[in-house]
Amino acid sequence: MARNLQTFELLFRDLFKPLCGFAMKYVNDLDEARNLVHEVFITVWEKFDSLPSDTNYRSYLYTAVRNRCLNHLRDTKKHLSIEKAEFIRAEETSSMETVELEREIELAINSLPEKCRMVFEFSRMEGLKYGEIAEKMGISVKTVEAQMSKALTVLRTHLSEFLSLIFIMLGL
Amino acid sequence: MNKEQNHIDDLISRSLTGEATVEEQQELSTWVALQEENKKYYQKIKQTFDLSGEYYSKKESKVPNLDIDKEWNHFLNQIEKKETSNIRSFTPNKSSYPMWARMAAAVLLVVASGFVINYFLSRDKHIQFETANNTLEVTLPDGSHVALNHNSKLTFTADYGTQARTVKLTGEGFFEVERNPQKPFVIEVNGATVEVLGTSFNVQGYDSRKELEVVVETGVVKFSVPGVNKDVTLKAGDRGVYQKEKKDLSSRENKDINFLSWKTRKLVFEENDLRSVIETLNNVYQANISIATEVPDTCVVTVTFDQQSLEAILNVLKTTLNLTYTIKDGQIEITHAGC
Repeated sequence: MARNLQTFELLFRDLFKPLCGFAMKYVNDLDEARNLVHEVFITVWEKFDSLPSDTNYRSYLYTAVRNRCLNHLRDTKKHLSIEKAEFIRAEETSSMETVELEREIELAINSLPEKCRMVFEFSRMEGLKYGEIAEKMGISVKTVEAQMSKALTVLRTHLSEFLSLIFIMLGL
Repeated sequence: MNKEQNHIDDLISRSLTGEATVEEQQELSTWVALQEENKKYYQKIKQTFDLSGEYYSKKESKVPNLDIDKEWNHFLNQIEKKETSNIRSFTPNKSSYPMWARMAAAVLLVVASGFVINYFLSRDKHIQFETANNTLEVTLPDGSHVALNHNSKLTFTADYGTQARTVKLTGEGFFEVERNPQKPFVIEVNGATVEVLGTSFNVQGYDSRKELEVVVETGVVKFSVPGVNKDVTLKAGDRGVYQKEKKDLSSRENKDINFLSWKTRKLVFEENDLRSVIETLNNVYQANISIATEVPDTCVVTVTFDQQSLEAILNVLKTTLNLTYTIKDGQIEITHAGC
């Protein structure tokens, strides 16, 4: 079967920028992030055909970008001088948890099934009511409700580790 | 997950999103107050809800400002580069002929065999190039290049390139298309559509043939037929075939290294049997060669011809394969194959 470049183009146009933003949480440099995301897209394109048809591409791409970033950090780490590394560490410690939590949230949201994620984003990002989301997506309010609950419970499970950490910190 | 759990989850979601009624809100409060576990459960979901809200409000400002068209082009170029480096080395060496030489060659061909260009700026302003026994090189207003095989026709409108880049083809042509993602290059041929995302490819759409064929040399080409519920994306080295009667569209690896010989006049045979060699010669040289004798299986040909005349090629075949043939009124008949 021929690889479907059209489908791939849609994915690319939809996700390239958000993925760069995501990668920047690891590498802190736009050009670096751009290159890494390009590399990921090329690798994914090369095996696009062999991926199962029910693949959650969004989730797949986010995970691939994360892994690529981590590998990149691992491979370039040795080039950092110790002073510089110390400096960066001191600078970043304060925001470390937040950044990590953000990454985790991003990965978790993008691992949601497409419909579920859309419902969740309409609600949380655009503040739409159940009824408005139902109309927009052409599904019933009941389904919106079910997807919303599903999204929240799935996210909670994904984030539970981080959340319990925060709970401990807050003494809850 | 049981029903009651589902109900609770829905209640929590409704409460958090402001969808809950007063009664539902009360029901939830009662449930939360019932056990410490319930309270923790509720708080974790609320935390998730709040964090995701924060995440979304921060996210907008963090998406970098990039030109997505530029990035997509960059991606296409990269896969193209990768794919071109993988294909065989059989590509015409264009740089060895300067532009003026190629134009001169085209003019010579034109003079030699008599061709027709109908260029009429009437109401619909169609520009048309047509070949008879010759081949012809056409440069389109955007710099794209088309080589037309014999008995072929290329039509486009005078406003080509302003809105879209659409051409009509009958017969066969080799296209080298300038990249412009804003205006895809579209070829209408035999009721099918060939849409170009990349650069160079051959289209064979003679009405008399049962199959419409597209062979891609570099880049990526989309091949579709209205009414056929499928389209194929061809990359370098692929051959897309539309079987007109069966209405079947498919793609496979291109095995015919001589697909462009009509243009390059370069022929490569590698252990091809005599019949297929003759078929290729007939196509490339518009010749009329027939075989009127038994051809042994041992008649295989391995040879390369570059810019040779048909006469010279037949001479080579004659000596290597021990052929006898007669020539009468332009018809060549092989009467004996002694290989």
